[in-house]
Amino acid sequence: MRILKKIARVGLLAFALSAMASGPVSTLESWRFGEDYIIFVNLKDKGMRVNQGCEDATSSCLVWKMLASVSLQDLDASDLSGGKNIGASLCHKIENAQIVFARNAKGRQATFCAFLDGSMVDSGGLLLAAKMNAAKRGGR
Amino acid sequence: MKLAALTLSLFFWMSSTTALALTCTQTDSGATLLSGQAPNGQPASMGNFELQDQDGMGTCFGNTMSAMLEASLPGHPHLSYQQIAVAYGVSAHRPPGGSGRGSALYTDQFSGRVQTVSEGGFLCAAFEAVKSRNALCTRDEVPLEREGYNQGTLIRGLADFYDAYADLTDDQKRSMRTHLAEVMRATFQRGAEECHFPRVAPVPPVLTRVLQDRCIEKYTLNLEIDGNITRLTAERSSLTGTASEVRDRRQAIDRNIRELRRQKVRVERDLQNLGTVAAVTATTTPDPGKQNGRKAPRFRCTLLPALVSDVESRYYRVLESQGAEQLSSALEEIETRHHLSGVLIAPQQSRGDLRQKYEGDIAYASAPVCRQNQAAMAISNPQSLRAEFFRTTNMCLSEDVFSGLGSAGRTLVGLNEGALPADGILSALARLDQNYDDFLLGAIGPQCLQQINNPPVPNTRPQIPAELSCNSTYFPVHVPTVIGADGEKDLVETARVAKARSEELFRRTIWDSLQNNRPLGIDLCTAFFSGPTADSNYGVNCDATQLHAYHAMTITGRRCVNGEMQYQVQNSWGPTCNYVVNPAGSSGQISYFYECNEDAGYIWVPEDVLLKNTRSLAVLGAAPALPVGGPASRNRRQ
Repeated sequence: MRILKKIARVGLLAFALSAMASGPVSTLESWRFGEDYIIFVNLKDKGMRVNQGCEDATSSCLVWKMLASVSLQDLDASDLSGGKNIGASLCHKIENAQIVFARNAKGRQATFCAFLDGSMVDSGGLLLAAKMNAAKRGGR
Repeated sequence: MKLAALTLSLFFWMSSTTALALTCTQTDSGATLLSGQAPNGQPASMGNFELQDQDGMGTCFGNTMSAMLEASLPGHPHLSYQQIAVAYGVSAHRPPGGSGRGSALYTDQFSGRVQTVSEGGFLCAAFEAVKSRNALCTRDEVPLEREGYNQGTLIRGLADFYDAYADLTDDQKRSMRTHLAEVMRATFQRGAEECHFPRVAPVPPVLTRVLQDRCIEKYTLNLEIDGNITRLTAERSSLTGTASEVRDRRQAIDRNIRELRRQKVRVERDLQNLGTVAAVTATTTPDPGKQNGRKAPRFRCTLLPALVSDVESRYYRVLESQGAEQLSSALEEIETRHHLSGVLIAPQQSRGDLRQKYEGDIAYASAPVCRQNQAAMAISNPQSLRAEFFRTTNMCLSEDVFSGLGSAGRTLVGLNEGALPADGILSALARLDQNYDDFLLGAIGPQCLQQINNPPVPNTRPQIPAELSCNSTYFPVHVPTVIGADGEKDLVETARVAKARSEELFRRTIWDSLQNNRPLGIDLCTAFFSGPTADSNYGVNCDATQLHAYHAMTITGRRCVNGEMQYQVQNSWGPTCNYVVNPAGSSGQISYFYECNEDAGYIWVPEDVLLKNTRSLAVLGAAPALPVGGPASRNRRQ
């Protein structure tokens, strides 16, 4: 009975959230980094997770500067071998940036690229930005 | 002219054969089938394994094999992928003559770059390497895989030091071992005083973390509900249209807002039952995400004292005094169950499940993390380490000898999450003369290494049963279709026959393994990440200049969509599909080349696309192995 109630609650919430005509293109997610948690905004229309407070592309957060300049041209064959996560490899190429591991409540693992001002983006988001930058330039 | 006609006719013939071979119908042996769902197979599912992110480490074959083994072994343990990768690396890079300890680094032929031996490898070879071990390490025992910060930098630093040590004279080696052991002992002694054993800097163990996860989840959900209420309220006040449209929409919005408010009450109540959430002030650790936390505030949940005291007294106290054996009975306590039930921690799990879930707590001790930081500090500065070595031994060594150790130390300093077990550094230093897999595992999972070298009797650790085997099926790699001056007919015919044989073999191998719930891995060129026309087997070779490389992933399902057979392919790059994004997709929206699950990071790839880029399939269990294609094409690592 309790489980049924729980399912009903979750269902109702899902309905309420999905029923909104102009539904949100972003959702909040919490990711655990060791003992602490950071709240990210999953910008679904942009295909990336950015820490809350930096989700506005016009903010002064370093993450947007890096996303605008990240380039696939920085990679070479050694950044690919062994099926390396290309997004993580791109992060390793950025000065003063580092890859950090996080997990969500479902136990799923993800890597984020953390910049000097503390702003962060998921490595998949970094890869996407690099691909988009390359497409704008008409190549790699 | 004749040549052109022949080419054209062969092309059409090949195209028609291909199209026929790669179609499917919904009734094709029950076309949709996910791993582990075959009714008559063994209970080995790859559908629920823990999603991994391999970072910038080239361990894809280790990640993939860990998921395959996880599906196969009794109890489905989460296995360490670093352990698999390094076991393969050492077996594949034996020193010349086969004796001695070998190196930690090698030059990759594909890229020409130096990398660790645990990067780049093959699935079944990795299986064989790890099968020869008495037992396996779980991921909880190698916390770096869960809590790592720049695990690649740490491992590379250790590897650099391991190889630099090999170049020392016997005298220098002896002095180095003695000196570093002394440094560590002194550090640990200081740590024992400064860290106030046993419980000053406790690391939240697994159960506490689950509670904290839940707490932050509720907090985040509450924020999201607030945001949605605000957005809807704003929308409500700016509605346009006819009066009836505005009225209908307003009513709909009001309903949604009421429901959201009801949800908010429940979420806030759940949160109150767990604890309070607050932002953490900046710490002194060197991690940029923490040090300059103003851009990415970190949150912590302070659990309710009653909940903590209950968990402490009924759970950790038993754990501390009696170990894992009593863990499940501690959780059986009614009051603890009641508490956990109140905060939705699924207390209905069986004893065995509970024990397995929380056994990782044992791997997380508290005070040792403090010692780990002290130890990391002690080796983080290569200049002072070198100077101290000179003062103690009167031996002058190049700073390069210490730089790898310094890099590893700097990566570790400030990590209070237990990324490296406390005795890891000391344990690794004691194994400088042993093989690299023992050295590395000594650093990142020392307790496990001890146990797998001297397994308990009876051996209750995860291990690979003798009857389990890994079978590879190879496919032609880079069959040239460019017609040369001579033998053009042969070349075209070779490609056609090879592809036709491959199609049948490919589908049969995948279907057989899914039908029998046998875990399946795939070794392929990532060219198709850039679009479905990529053909690295029958067209252009897997091309590093185009950012293509060999990679290993798992195949976790099949389905038939509009007459096209597709396979579910699971990556180990975290929950993202951006690796198959189509940059030329419709503007304003993210567009992918293949259907993907953005939460779990898997994609559905058409059979033809996958076949054109597959080098081999690896199946765990007893699968038919019908090799196709020459061995020369199998040499490039993933």
